[in-house]
Amino acid sequence: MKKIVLVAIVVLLAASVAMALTLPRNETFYEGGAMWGPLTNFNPLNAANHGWGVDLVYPTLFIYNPLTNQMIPYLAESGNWVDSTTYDVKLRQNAQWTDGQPVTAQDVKYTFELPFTVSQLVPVVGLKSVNVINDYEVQFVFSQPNYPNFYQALYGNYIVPEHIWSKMATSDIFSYANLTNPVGCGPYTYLTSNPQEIVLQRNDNWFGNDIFGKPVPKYVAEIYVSSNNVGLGLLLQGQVDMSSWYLPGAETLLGPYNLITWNEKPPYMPSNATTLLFMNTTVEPLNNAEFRRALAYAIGPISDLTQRVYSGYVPNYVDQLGFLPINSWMQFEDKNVVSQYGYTYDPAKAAQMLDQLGYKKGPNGWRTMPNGQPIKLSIICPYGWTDWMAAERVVAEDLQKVGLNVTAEFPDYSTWWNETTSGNYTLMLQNAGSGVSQTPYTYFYWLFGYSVQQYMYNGNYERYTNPTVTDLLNKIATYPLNDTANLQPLYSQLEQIFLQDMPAIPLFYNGMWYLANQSVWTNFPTAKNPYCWPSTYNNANVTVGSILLYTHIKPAQ
Amino acid sequence: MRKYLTRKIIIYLITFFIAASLDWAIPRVMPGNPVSLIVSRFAQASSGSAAQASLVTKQMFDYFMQAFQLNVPWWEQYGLFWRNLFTGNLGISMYLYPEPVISIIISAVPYDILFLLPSILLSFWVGNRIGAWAARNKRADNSLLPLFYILTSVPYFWLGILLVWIFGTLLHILPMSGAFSYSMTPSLTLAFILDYLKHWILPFLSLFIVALGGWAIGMRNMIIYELESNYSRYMGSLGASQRLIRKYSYRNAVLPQVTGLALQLGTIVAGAITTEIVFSYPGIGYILFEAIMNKDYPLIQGCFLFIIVGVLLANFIIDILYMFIDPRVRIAYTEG
Repeated sequence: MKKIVLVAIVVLLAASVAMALTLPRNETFYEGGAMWGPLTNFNPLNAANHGWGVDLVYPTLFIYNPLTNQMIPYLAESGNWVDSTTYDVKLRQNAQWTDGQPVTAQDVKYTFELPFTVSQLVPVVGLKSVNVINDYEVQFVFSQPNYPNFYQALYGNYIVPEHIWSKMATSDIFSYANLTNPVGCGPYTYLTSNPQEIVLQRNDNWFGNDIFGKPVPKYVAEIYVSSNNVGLGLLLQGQVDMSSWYLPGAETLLGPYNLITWNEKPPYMPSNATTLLFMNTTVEPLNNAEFRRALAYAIGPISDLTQRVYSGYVPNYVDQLGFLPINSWMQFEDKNVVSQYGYTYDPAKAAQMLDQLGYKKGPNGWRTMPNGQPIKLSIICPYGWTDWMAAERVVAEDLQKVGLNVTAEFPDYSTWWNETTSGNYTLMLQNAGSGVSQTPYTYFYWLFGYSVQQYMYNGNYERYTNPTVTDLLNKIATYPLNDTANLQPLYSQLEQIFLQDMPAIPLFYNGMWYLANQSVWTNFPTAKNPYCWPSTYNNANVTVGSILLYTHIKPAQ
Repeated sequence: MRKYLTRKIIIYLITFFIAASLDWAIPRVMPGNPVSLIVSRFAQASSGSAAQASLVTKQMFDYFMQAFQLNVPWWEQYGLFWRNLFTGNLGISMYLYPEPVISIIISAVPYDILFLLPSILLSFWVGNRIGAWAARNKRADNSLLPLFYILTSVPYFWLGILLVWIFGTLLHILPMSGAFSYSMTPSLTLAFILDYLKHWILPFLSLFIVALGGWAIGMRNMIIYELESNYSRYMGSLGASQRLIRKYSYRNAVLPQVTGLALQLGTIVAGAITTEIVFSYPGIGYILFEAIMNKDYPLIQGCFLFIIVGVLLANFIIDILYMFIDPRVRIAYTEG
């Protein structure tokens, strides 16, 4: 028996010398909030479903920085329109895949033309072909470019190595998990993942070293936890350096725990998306635009909602159009339209409007349809999204105050999603497509762009149909993003229709939840030092610029 | 002996059949279509591509319906479920697509077993010992009994949170979450094993302490009953030592406790699930939770199947054990 124990100990000791991989704390950057389960998918072509870290391993042609509203050339060295249907991209010549092969124009062509053969991938709108001019130059040829769509692809589509992916059967490309030795060319390479975290290791051969600077942490680890409470504990103890979890109570945490966030005073966090109250425009009485406008007055753009729910994390107002307070969107907000057709927080007016429309109060105190039928509405949001649940209760109260029988309900996530997509709801909270982007077109397209069908997966959950809106969106897409002279009149019309028809009511901004512990790393991005969007994940592909996070942070002394 | 085992095995097979069928049916009666969830995750299209996006989502919907064999009538799905089960194919997870369910479970199960087994067995053993001791020590009984009552009625997760707060937040002596340090990768090294053990203590304790109370109360009551019974008095009057009497009463008292263990297993496994969520422990508890939230039929089925098999197996072992600790059962089947 003793012998066995002895042998076991010797074996263990030998093994521990042989294969221990322990990440040194001062060389590892720990972050959390982007993953809710083990990593099972590292396929950069699964745009919406791949795990954390793909943006640090695979390159995009450009990076979009929402803080400066600039496209930063990344794998591309430069890009410009040769004529109205041809876009020329020159690539950096020193980029190498981690298997030693050079990154060439062929890889770019292969990636952008893949959707022509792989049916589960969505191609760039109007793209006819990608022509290779030489090893480091390609031209995108369009029948008619959709500018917002193409620019989104320029900063959102990851380039994959043709010499590896082309060996796969077309039918396997979409479902490929890509977890064994993925070959990329970004600042980091995939090192390992286990049931608790994903670990990336610095790629010392990164082509961006001379352009963006060398990434500082040797390892970056994304941790996943089962609840935000656990995340909070890890952050406070300094085991996690940067958090994208929603952790309430910043005002009590910032000082005592050496934490930092975007702003020193409320609102602490930058606004990252707008949550709206969607109204199903196919059911009575929500099919009446005036009724929907009355609801907007009952809720209002500056009510106590944000105060009660987010106490200081986000601004205490929301834009009446739901525009995010970023330059790329706000430049197109027509103040005249908003002041003329906008709404205020005015429950008395809401009640008066409802009275005039004939939705009079019945004997039980609730308003009824003009024909006396009872009105029963319910708002849904996923159970467990605590901030949304609190907001939903506030909205329900606001609407009850003007005499509407509205209940707040919290189905589980999948039920909520099912009812959202199938249109089997009356009122619903949603923010999926309202995130930071280069143009408000993405927001309006999410709201109105998808024509009504059985399941609405991508947007237009309110099931709103208006040919004028479709026409306006189509026109907007044909102008370059900076063509303000042509775009502004179109946006003004769209904004007017939004405020007149009110198919959704902006409720509050969702913050870019961001807290960082400065005990191991410092020089985190802040409003005073805004070198990148403070996100640890790629955030609808906008914040691939978080590459800049790793080149800017510094070790704490 | 053989008769006993055959009978037991038949009962277990029937139980397994019913449990596995329920396991198949329950996710399917939950409202909503899981494929619409997975499609929504995959098919997020960029702006401006509505026509293409809706085409792609339509294709994707059909693709996943077929991939997960949900496009056939329910009785055919049920048949496929059994066929796949016998060929060891638990399917592919929807929520963790494209990972096979079996590999998700295999990577999670070691963590479950390594903290479930010790906490169940040790709490049983220690609880019974303490209970037996309390039964014949008035002072210990008076102070311990209320404590046991509190412990046994404490929810697992609440005790877990309490332990995290005391040992993790206040005292800083034990890690608050995870099964190992985030700076480690699982490997068979001394450093990793020590690190693992350090992370194991709190989740273990939260299951151990709660279960302990229940066993101790049960044992205390049983021992008091047995010590008052006729055979104990008779032995006493024959002049047997207290020690011998206690030995015999313990043997008798432990029988209902073993039965109780078999019955309790399910509850303990359920408790382990909430404990794992509190400690962010990478066992199947949290995965099952997420699977249910995402209506991941294959993953829910796989996790429950593991639990069903585990609980049935443990019960079976207890049944066999029963033959050794209760001569009446053994004799009934060998000489009957």
